[in-house]
Amino acid sequence: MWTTRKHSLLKAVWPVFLLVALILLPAKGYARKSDDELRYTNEETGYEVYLRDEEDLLSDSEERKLVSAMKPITAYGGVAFASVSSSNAAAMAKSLYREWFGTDSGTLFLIDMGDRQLRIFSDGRLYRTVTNKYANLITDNIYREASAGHYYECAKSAFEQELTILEGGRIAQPMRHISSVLAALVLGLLGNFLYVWMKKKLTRDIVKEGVLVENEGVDDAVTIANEKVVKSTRTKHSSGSSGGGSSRGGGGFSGGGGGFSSGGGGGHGF
Amino acid sequence: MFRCNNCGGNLVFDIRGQRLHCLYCDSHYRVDTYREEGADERTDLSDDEYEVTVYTCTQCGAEITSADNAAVGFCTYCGTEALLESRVAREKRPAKIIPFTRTKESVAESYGELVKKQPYVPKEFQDPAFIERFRGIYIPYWEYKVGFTGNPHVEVHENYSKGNYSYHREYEGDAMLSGTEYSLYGDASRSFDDEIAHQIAPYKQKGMRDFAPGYLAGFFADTADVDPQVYEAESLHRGEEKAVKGILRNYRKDSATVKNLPSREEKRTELFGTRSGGFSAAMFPVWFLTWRRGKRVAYGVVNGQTGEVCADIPIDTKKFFLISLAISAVCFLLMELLNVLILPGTMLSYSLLALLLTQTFFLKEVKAIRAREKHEYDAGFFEREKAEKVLAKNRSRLGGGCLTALLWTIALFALVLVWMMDDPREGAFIMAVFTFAVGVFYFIRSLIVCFGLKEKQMLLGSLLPFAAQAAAVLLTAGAPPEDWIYYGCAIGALGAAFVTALLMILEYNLLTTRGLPDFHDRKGGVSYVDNP
Ligand SMILES: [Zn+2]
Ligand SMILES: [Zn+2]
Repeated sequence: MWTTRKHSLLKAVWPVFLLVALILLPAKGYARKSDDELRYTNEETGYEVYLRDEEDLLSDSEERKLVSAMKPITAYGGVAFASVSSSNAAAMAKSLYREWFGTDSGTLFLIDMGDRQLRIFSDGRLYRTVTNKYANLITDNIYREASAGHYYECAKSAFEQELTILEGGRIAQPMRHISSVLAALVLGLLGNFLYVWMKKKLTRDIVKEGVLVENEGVDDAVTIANEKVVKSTRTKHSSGSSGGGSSRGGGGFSGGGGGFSSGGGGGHGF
Repeated sequence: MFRCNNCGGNLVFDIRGQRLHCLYCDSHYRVDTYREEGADERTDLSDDEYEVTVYTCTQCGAEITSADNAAVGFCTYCGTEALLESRVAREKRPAKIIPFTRTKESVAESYGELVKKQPYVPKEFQDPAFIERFRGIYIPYWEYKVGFTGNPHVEVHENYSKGNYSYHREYEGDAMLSGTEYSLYGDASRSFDDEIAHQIAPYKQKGMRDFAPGYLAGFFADTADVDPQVYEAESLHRGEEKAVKGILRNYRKDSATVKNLPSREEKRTELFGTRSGGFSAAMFPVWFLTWRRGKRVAYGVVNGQTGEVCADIPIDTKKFFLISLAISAVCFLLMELLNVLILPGTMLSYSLLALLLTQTFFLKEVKAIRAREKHEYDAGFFEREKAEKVLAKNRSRLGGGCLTALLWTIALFALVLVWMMDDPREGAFIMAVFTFAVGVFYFIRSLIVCFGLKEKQMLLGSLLPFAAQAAAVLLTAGAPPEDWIYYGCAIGALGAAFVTALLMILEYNLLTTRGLPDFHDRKGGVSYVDNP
């Protein structure tokens, strides 16, 4: 049986995995099998294609075909395919990404045979389009291919879908700028208008006070005759007098994770 | 006319010395005892009358009187120059007058101070030559006396806290109302807006004098042409409110309430034995400044006794837009810097919130514009029957604002939900649904208001946001993954917000200025001026 992990669970234990991976990484010592690796550089954009098939899931011709399927993505960022065998696909995807692309724009598709997971990790400009939601969506679409052992079809489909999203993202780019400009205009107008509105001098509310006016300095007190106190009670405030106050046990707040980390992705078991 | 008994020159009322002053020979006269020599020969004037020149503006129909035949030059209310018809009339003496105690110079100065503090003031409002045009006018008021015959038995509850204790006390006693009499004043000039009268109130009782025509020397006066019965019912109501306040004055401030007050007005009137003590006329001093451009006028009005200023100050839209553009530029730069963090769904959520904020202010503004156009707060503008309806409606308006607070709570609740959502796309959908639900209220209410306005383009400000909100709900249903949908909806929402805000600003000066007045076709008021 293939295990399926919940995305949110992965997210929660992410920092722990990261830590474990960091400790394990140097110990394991990645041996590069150069014959498993293919590279290509887009001369125009400088973005690169990496393909590392440690698990030998693809034939040589499949590798070459896959690289050509990956090439168009170099218009937007680096693109990588890797097959590995580890115990933590998410951490592996991230560390491989950082090794090849650092924090540049790019995307990586990982088949982890140890963990039996498909992962997509993206960062930079490209991540703005291929967000976590997309990554999950894509891996959801293709995990059956992986289960059936059709790794090439699976990987090709992943990159094709990413490309479709990226092209669509290109459509969304100018819209993003238009909405930024509009948002700035609305903020400017509205902020300035609020300022003017607040400054408007209207000290009295005619609705509340009525249309007739009174003169100032007229004694309008009414004498009370035969006055008697019917009831008089005094009660101590319940709050603030109990003393001691509430005490909080335990240590301080412990935050999860290690601050803001850009980049991310999604995955699916297969 | 007020002539100097020494040299025959014109006398004017000297504000600093509170006496009549001859500009030619420097003689002084007490106002209350001044009598023009030879004036006794006039026998056609009875004791309770004095002679004035009434000027009627041919443009707007406003009337202004002068007791010393002073040149008027321009109409106070519409700013039209030299289009005034004059006639001599006999005016009934008001019972009381509060003379001017603020000089034109001091008033001009405090007006200048106020103008300086306003944002984006048009240049001409700071022009000394413009501020020079302040004109001293006595505004007639109806004084309503409200008396009581009952000594109601009252139960008063007092709740307050002091130190670590809270106190509750219950009193009983008889409120000795019988014999008490309160005075309330209603603006008796149809031309003078009740709302302005309200803004510059109160006057100080201490300055009140018995009327003498000499106080008018050098000033103008409005005619008392509002039917005195317009405010009579309101005066009884207000008198009772004052009585309750007077009772509570015996107790700790803001902590006491009268517990056994009947909630029905008639019952209360019965219990208090409220009765009208009749009305009489009084004159209160006002410094008046008129600005006109095209079909709009703006007034600067200062209480001639206390110096309280009330001013219509329009904004210079050119200045306003320039500054807005500068703010926008800064916002745009900031957004470009933070761009990485703004995902399409988040963008849409904030856009929808901005749209909702725009709608809120739009509704506030169009309601205020309608109130101005329809004289909703100016009962004296109307004939008696209509005026009483206006007053009753104003009373029922109290206690608003709850709904707005509720709607905004809902919107903020949606915002919290959006933050809790993992995926900004789903958050945007939630926000779309919530803002749409709240937006429906704003849409319906502003649509009704805008239909009643002369400015039909304001309908756009009600329709566009609603369309954008509806589109956002329909398109983001199910949180589809395509980015362009969210950007598209955000552009729609922001576009609608932009147009609405633009309308709001372009028409903002409808609130800071007034339409040209028209007092021609009003019937029903009694004129206090007798034609000779
Ligand atoms: Zn003289
Ligand atoms: Zn006029």
